[in-house]
Order: sequence, then structure tokens, then C-alpha cells
Amino acid sequence: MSLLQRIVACKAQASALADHQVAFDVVFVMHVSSRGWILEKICRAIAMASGWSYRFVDSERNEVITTRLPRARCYFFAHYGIFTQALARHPELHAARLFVWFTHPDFSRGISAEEAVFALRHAERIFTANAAHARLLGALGVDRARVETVYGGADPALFRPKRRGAGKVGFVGAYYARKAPDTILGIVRAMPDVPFLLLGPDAASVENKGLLWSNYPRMPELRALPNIEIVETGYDHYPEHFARIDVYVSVALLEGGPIPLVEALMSNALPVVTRTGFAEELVHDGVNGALLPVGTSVEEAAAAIRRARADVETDVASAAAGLSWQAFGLRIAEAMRGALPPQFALTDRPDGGLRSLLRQGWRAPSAGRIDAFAPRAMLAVPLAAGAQLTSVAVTLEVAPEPGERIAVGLLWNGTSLAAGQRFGPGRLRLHAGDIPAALSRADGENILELRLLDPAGGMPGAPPCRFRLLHLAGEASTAIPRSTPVVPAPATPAQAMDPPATPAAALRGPGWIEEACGGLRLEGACGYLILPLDAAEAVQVRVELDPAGASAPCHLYLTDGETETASGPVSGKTVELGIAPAPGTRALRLELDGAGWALRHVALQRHVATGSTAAALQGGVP
Amino acid sequence: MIAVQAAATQAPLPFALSAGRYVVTARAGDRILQPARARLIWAANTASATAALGIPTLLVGGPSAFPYGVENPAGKAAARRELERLYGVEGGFDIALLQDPKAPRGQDWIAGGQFIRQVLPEAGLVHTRDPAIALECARRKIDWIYEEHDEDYQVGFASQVGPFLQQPSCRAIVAITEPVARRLRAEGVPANRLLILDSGVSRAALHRREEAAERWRAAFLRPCYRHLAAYAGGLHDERGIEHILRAAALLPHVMFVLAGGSITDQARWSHAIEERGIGNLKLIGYQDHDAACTLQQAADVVLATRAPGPRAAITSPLKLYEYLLSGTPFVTAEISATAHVRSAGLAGLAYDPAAPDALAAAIATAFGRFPRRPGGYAQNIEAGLAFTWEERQRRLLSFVGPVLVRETF
Repeated sequence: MSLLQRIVACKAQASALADHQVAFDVVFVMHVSSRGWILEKICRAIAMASGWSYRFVDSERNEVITTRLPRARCYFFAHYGIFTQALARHPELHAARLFVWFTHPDFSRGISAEEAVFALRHAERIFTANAAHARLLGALGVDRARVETVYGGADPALFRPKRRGAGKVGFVGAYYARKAPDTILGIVRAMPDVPFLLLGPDAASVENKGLLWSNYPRMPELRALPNIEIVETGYDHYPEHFARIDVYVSVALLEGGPIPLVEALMSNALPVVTRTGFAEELVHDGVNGALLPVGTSVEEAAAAIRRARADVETDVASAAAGLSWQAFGLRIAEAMRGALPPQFALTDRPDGGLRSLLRQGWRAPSAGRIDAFAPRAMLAVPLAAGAQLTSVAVTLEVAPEPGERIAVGLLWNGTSLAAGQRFGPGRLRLHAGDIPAALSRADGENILELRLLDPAGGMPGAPPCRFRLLHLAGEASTAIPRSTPVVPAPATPAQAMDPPATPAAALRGPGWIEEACGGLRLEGACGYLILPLDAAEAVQVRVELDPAGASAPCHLYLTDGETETASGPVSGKTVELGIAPAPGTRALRLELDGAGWALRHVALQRHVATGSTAAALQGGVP
Repeated sequence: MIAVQAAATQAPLPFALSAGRYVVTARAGDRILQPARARLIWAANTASATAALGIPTLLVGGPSAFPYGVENPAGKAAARRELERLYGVEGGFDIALLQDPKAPRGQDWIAGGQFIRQVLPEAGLVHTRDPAIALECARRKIDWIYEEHDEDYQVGFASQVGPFLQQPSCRAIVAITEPVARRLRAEGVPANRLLILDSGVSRAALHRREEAAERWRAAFLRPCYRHLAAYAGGLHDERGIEHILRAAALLPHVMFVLAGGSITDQARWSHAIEERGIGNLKLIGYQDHDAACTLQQAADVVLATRAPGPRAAITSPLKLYEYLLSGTPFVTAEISATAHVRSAGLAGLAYDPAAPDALAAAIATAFGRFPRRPGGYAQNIEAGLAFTWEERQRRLLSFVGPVLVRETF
């Protein structure tokens, strides 16, 4: 059987767990060779930021997870290779929420592009290290709406900006053939008047000893050159060595990052880097560093290094502002939390969205059935941080004994909101509106409880107390307030660009920093807005942008989850996108890719059979 | 009693192995590791503790636990990492991975195969729980220690090995409890070779895991639970799991988390809690040593339950010792094996396993009397130190004395 067939066969064996069988919120899976190196750092940053219970699993092999896989709600794979193989062997994964870090594409070793794409379609979300890889995955057939770019980071408390002038030229990283070590050797040899520093890991800091520079066959030649200092040490000591680097050089052939580029920028070391990973997104050639072609020659690199050494004035540290590991972890953790949109309607169907919310008191969901076995059954209802639930409606199916009644209470974070009762079998609907804002948790981690009030039960030997969950709907405060509807009553095209404004901040997904003027600036590489929508044949969105802090063009994407419209590279301040949403679409996602860009104004115009209506989602510029 | 044992740790070790290695293996045919297999935990920890005492040690088992080749150094390194992960043992000992073609189905090796050819030639002393291995050593005049844990395959040990019990190569017969020792004496084991030793506890349990423990508390206690009660161990009926279910039904504001048990037992109890509508109990399955220790530190109270009956008399309170190192207040069944801990003035309570709802009452009392302390209760941790595997080996090897070079064949 092919790998794809095995994945399909494995999926067929999957069965969901009940919450009382789950040990961890998230399990991070990586190869043991990642211990002590960047992929582990990535996972730890997410784990720390999440606040969840977690466990790390180190597999000795890529083709099979060699250790026990603890039961968890979510699994985060540090590499798509081990993820693809694991999907073919672990049925439990198919019943959990899956997340993948996409380091960089390397389809020549073990996993083909077709296999990787097939596997990644099983992931709820894929995080890429740079926007180019996100676009690549989209082009290969991965749903672009599931792909999110999050730049790696560095610790700004450790990597401090310094003045340049007497520092060395630094190469930083572990040994890989893709780092083009022969080119590094050539550069050092060709510039005998320039002092170089090679900074790499020591044996104690990495599990995979293949990452040590001693594995480079020509290391004796490099070591023999008088103008290079070679430092192999633990990552904790990297900041002190970055403080001695004026120019950071990467001549790598393939990168996801490289992360040392962020460390270099933070340390105010001018980068000279090949066009790999996020280099093109952080470095603007000739402005805050130099970009070299992949496979650059020694002569070309040497010339760029000399120019860079001559520039001791340009401040490059600002390009790394906000790129901390903490921000990185928070961003991914927020995406994994999966906050519900301001208006949500979830059903008991396998893809209806309810199943991942089930907590104590529910049986493992089977096809089309979510049964409570305990008198208190809980649902985790993740809202955006700071959002407050304003109304909620739950539909249950109940079957009291003939002549008996069943009464169920609805509680939000422990406070009773509503109760209902029913005589005889049928549907019981519980509804609560005007829910006080103070009842919602600021971190968005809310619990909805359904409590059986009558008949009471749960004592040993008592019969199980059951009801069935059919439907959950609600609205949260981040939705457009009813007093300023997104799509007002029929308007003429002339009125279209001048509707009541809604703060864009109210619609934002993760990835934004609110500016003093009220606009939104990208915190990292990308961010998105959710644009609420009623039925429409077509939608036109006009976006006003501010490239003030950007060093490269941005891209805009508009999607309804099925189809996507992309802008192409944007350098100007205004861009328009159009899309014909699928019938029944309730919201569009507008995504902005491009570090440093800010959003000033978004205008939404929908075309319906009877004419056009419009709304504006306004930032700080009236 | 605990104070006396703790003081004994300071004594020099009157043991020496003049040649060969200290070989540890539980039972012929066993893999070298397997989740929730008590005798393999015993073997790995015994090997680790022996190595920690400076004695060259070899742990023997089969390789079928690993889904990858372990013939090369990288494979062996991977196997060591897995031992560390699963059982929380530190390295320092070598491993021999045996695979006999003639081994019966489900077993990796046999006592009369590669073990004789590859392991015994370099053995100075063999420490085992398998009568068949003890017999192979005795026949070849290789010094040996046998441990009796009252397992099925150990039945008839004295009659199998009887003629060799008086020979010098028989260095010690370890009984896991006093009742087991009484039985062995009755079967003819000489009293001067007999030593009673409880199971041990890994020193790794001492390591504080406050941050991970707080995360688990946050995950398990939200939104409406006030306390966390944890149990770690098997889920057989004899373990008193029924008591925990009753307590959970009576204490709806307490979240009960049970770690361990076979898949079959987990499914059985999972069905039971659903049938009874008990929503405040989790069965999170077997956890690696580190995670199990984290759970114990996260809890307000840890539970050492036991069903009443004959098995309770021969049990070894291994988990209770691990609980002590967690520093978390415990509630334990009143059985003979826990009497010495219960009388030591520790943060913990006992309940009568014959009284159906006594556990719930004891748990509720423990919450009031021993509120959760960051860092744990020092007196419990101090008491637990007397029961580490290192202390256990120290006592055993002090009993054994020097092992001199002997002509073997």
C-alpha cells in the first residue's frame, strides 16, 4: 500500500475519545535530533505561551513515532515529514486537532510533495516560517485559509542593539550541507583582511551530533585560516557573541528562517543574506542589508560584505521589533486555541464544530450523536481574548420517562444563565440573552455547563442521566453591534463608500497591534480580519494601507473558505479585491501578508440581486 | 523506623564485586521495557541504583520493544533514552538485548540460550526474579540473588532450586513482604539467606515540577472543581478503584484523575463511570514516570487505595513511597504493608478499605488538615528518601557482602 492509502486506511480506524480519557491539552511531536535546537525552541515557545498542559514526544525515527503517544486534544508536529508518516500509523490522530510547523520544503527526502500536501489537508492549521512557503503550499493545493505565517523570533532582552564599527563578520548556525559551507570557506579565504566569526552549537547543547561543524569534511581547512574565530557553544551564550558581530552573513541554499537573521537584526548587525526563507520579507536590499541570489558566488558575497562593513550608521534593529519568541508563541497558541467568530452556530455533525469543545460529562461522540452521561456536562467555548458572550442558545434532545419531566440549567463560567424543562421526549431549547459582560473570562477560555436539575442523579448505582446535544449558537461582543449593522438597509452605490463606520479592531483576528490613532499594524508577518457578511452575489473590498514601517511589498488575500482572491505584490496605499462568495457564506477573511504594513481603512461593498449595499470598517483615519 | 532507615544511608557499603558485572534481569523472555510492567520497572531501577553505587552493571532484556534496529551504537543509545523516558532511570549501566530464535511466541529470549552464552560469561553476580535463571546460575556456580514477588511464574521456586539454596553461590533470597518471607521459610529457604525488602522508588520523583504541575491543575480544575485527587498505578479490582468511584460520586467538587492501567481495565472503568454518571473522574492512561510524578505533585491529595482481601496482605506499597517523594498529602488504605508509613507522623491519612465510603471521608478530612503546599510537605519527602532504589540496593548489597572471584563453569 502506498503511504496515501495507508493514511486513508488508518483514518478509517479512528474513533473519538471521551474527554475523561484525555491526559493533555497538547502533545508536541518532534524527532529526537531536534532536542536542543530550533524546532524544540519553537515548540517550547508555543507551550509556554499557551498556558495549556502539554507533553513533548521525541521520536527516534521519522517514519514511525517510536515512543508512546499520550492521549491529547491537540497534537503539534514540528515537521511535516513525521506528521505525514504518523497519520498512516496512529488512528487516534485522526480524531484529534492537528497542527503542523512547516519548516521548509524538502521533498527530496522521504516524503514527496504529493504526500505532504495530502497529509497537510488533515491539519487544522499549518504554520510556515515565511510567507513564500505559505504561498507555495497554497499553490501545491493546501487550503490557503489554513496556512498562517508566523516569523520566528529572538529574545529582545538578550539580543541588544549595539553600535557597529570594530566587529567581525559572522556566520551563525549549525552545520548542514544546505548552509553552503564551501562558500563560507571560500569567502573567509578570499577576504584575509577581514575578521570572521563562525558561531555554532557545541556537543552538549544538541542531541543530533550531526549538527556539529566538526562533521564538515573541510573543517581543518577552515580552522587553519588565520582570520576566522570558531566558537562552538550553547545557545545561552549566543547574545554575547552577536555583540561582536557587525555583519551577519547567510549564504544558505534553503532556509525556513533563518532565525539568526532575527538575532542579527535585533543586535543591529547588518545582514548579507541569500534570498531564502523570510530573508526577503525582513531585509530590503540596500536599505537594511543586502540580498544575494541563492547559490551566490564567493566574489559576489565578498563585495556585499565589504559594502556592509562600510555602513556603520544604518539602524537595522527596528526591523526586528516585535519579533520575540514570546510574541511568536502567543500568536501560534492563539491560533491553536481556535477562538470562535463573533457569531457562531455549531452542530453535532462530525464537521459541525461542537466535538472539539466537549469536556467533562460527555461520552465519546459517535456518528451524529453527542450524549451526556453525567448530570453536569461541560463545553469549552473559546472566544477571542477580551470578547464577551452576549447571547447563547443550546438545543438538546431529551427523553424523560413517561409522566416525568426533565429540567436542565445553562451556566456560563459557573453562573446560571437559564433553565428549561420538558415533559415527554423531544427537543429542549435553552436560550440566554443580554449576558453580563463580566461573566466572560478576559482570556477567552470560557466554560459552558449544562446541568441536569431534575431528576437529580449521579449517585452510585443510579441510572445514567442523559441528554443529547444537538446545536449551540451564540454571539460575542466582537461581532458588529446591532446598532451599527455591517450591511445597512439597501443603499445606493453613491452611498456605498460612506456608511456608518465600525472599528476594524473589533473584527481583527490574531497578528495585529492597535495603534494610537486607532489603526491596526501587523505585529509579525501577517494578520487577518473577519468581515461579517449576509448573502451576496459578489463582494468588493477596498483596503487602505500604510507602508510606513515596511521594507517590502505586501500581499492581500480575500477568502470565503472555499475560494480565494489574491492581490499580488502591493506597494501602494490602496488596493481593491473582489470575490463571489459561495451561497450561505456568513463571513469573509481578509488577510494581509507583509511585515511592517498597517491597515487604515477597509470598505466592504456587496452586490445583491436588488442592488448594492456597503459598510466601512474603519481604522484611525476618518 | 523511617529515621533509622535514613540514618543507615550514611554507612559505607560492605560490598565489592571482584570480577565481572552485576547482571539484572527480571524474567527470561522479557523485553527490556514495556509500559506498566512492574517487574521491568524493578529491573531498570535496580540496574540504575546499582550503577549509581559505582558497580559495573548490565541490564538484560529483549529488543522487541523497539520498532527500530538496536544492534548498532545509535540504536542502543535510542534504547537507553527510551528507558529514561519511560521509567525515569538515569543511565550509567550497560544493556544487553537478547533475541533467541528458539524463544517461544511472545518472548524474546530463553534462560538456556544467549543468556548463557553471552551474558553469564561476564557475570559476577546475577540478580533476578526468575527461578529458571537462578537455576542456570546455580548450576554454573555463578553468584545469584533471587527476588520473590509472588508472581505466577515464581510458584515452586524453592522446590526447583532447593538443592542449591545452601551453596555459596546463593547470596540472598529477597521477599517482597513478611507474608512472602514466611511462606518461603516454610518451603525450605534458609533464614540466613532471606531478606525482606519493599520495592523502591526512583529518586527522579524528588525533582520538583511546579510549573508543569500548575498547568495540570489549571487544566483539571477548571471550571468548577476545588480540589484534585490523583491516583497512579494499575486499575485491577484489588487496587481499590471501586473506592475511588464511590468517593468521586460523593465529592462532586473534587476532580479525580487516575493514571495507569491496561487498556482493558481503562475501558472497563470508563464504562463504569459513564454508567454511574460520574463526571468528575478522568482515566488518563499510563504515563511516563516524569508525567506521573508531575500529576502527584499537582494533586491536593494522592490515593493509595486497596480492596480488602488476601491480596492486600502481600502488596508492596511502591506507589506510596513515590507519593511520599511528591510531598503531597496521601490517603492510604489501612493494610499491613502501609502500617510503618501511617505511624510516622506524616501528612497523610488512612481509611478502612472494608468501609465503603471511608475513602471519601478521609479525602475530605485531608483537604482541611493538610492544605496544598507549594514544594510539598517536607516530612513526607524526607520519609520517602529512605525508600529509594539506591537505599534498597545498599541494604541488599550490605546483606550480600563481598563477591569474590570464583571458579565457574
